[in-house]
Amino acid sequence: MSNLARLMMSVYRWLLACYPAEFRDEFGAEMLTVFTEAAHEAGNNPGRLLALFGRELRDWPGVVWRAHLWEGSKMMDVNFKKPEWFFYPGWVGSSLLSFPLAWLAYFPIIAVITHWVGDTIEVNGQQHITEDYFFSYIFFPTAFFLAGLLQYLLLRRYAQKMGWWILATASGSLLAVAATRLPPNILHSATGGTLIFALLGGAMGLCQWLFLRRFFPKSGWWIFASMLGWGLSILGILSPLKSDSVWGQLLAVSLPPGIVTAVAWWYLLKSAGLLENQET
Amino acid sequence: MADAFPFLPLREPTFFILLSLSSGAKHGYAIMKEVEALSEGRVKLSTGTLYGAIKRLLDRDWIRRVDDPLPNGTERERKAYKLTELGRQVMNAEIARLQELVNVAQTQIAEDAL
Repeated sequence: MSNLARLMMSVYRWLLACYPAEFRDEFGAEMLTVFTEAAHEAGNNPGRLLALFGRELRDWPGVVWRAHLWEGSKMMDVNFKKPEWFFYPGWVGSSLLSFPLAWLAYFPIIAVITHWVGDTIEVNGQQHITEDYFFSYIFFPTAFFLAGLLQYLLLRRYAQKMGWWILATASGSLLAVAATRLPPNILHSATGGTLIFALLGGAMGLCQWLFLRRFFPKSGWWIFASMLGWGLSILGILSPLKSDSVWGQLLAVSLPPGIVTAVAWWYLLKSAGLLENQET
Repeated sequence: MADAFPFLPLREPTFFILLSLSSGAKHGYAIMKEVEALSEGRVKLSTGTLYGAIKRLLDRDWIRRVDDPLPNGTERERKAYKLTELGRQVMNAEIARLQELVNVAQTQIAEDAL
C-alpha cells in the first residue's frame, strides 16, 4: 500500500470517529474494510485514490449529520418516558429562572465589553452608551441559552440525546436578534414589544420545532405556541399590575412563555400517545 | 404494495442499492460496484453514503444482514445484505412509479408530435 493510501486510511479512521457511537459500533469495522478494499483496487494510482477519498470527504458532513439525527430520533422515540407530575411545574420554573439568571450574567459580560470598548461606542456616526447598545445582543441570547440549558436538564430525565435542545433554543434567539437588530427601547411600546417578543418566540419555536419534528411529525403548531407565549410576555412589563422591581418584572416576563409551552408539551406528549401508552 | 407508497419516491442511491440486492445477497463493496455498474458509472457511492443508507434500510426492515461466506482479502469483519419481502415491495412500487412517469411522458410527447 502506498504512502498516500496509508495517509488516507489514517484520515478515514478519524472521519469514522465523528459518527454516532451506535453507528460506529455497528458499521465502523465494516466501512473500514470496504474502504480498504476500494483503496487496494485503486492500487498505486494517485488519481483513483484521490477520487475515492474525495467522494468520502464530499459526502461525510451530510452523512454524519443525518446519522446523528437518525440515531437521535430513534433513541428519543424508544426511550421517552412518561413525565412525572413535577415535569410541568419544572418546565415553567426553568423558563421563570432564565431571565433573572440572564440579568445576573449580563453585568459581568457587559463589564468586560465596556472595559475593552469604553463607556460609549460609535456606530454609523452615532454615539451610543455601550451598556444600552449591547443589551439586546447579550441579554436575550443569554436568557434563551439559559432557558434551553435548564429545560435540557429537565428533558434529559425523560429522553436521551436532548443536548440539541440547547442549541435549538439559543440559535432561535440569535436568529431573531440578528434579524431585528433590537433597539434598546423596544420594551417601552406595547405593539413593538409584543411584536418583537412574538418574533423572538417564533424564531426560537421554529428552531425547536426543527428538532422536535423528528420525533413528533405533526408538531408545527409548536412554533405558534412559542410565539403566543413570548408575545404574551410583554404583559409582564406593560401590565397595570406590573411589579415595580426589576426582579418582579423579569419573573413576570418569563412566566407566560413557561406556562404556554408547558401546556404545549402536555398536548404534544398526549397527542403522540406517549402518556396513554405508558400508563398501561 | 400499498405499504410502500408513503416511502416513495426513493432517493437514487437507495433505489440503486435495493436494485443491486434484487439478484441476491451482497456485501458492502459488491453493492458499491454493482450500483456503479447499474448506473453506468453515474452513481458512485462513498462508504458513508452506502452505510448511512444501509442503516436506514435495516431499521425499516427493507434489507437484512446475513453472513458473507466469501473471503474479503482482509482480516476484518464483513457482512452481506439481503433484500426482504418488504424491501422488494418498495423497490417494485418505485419501479412502477417510474414506469408510470415514463408512460405519461411518452404519451404526451407522442400527442405533441401529431
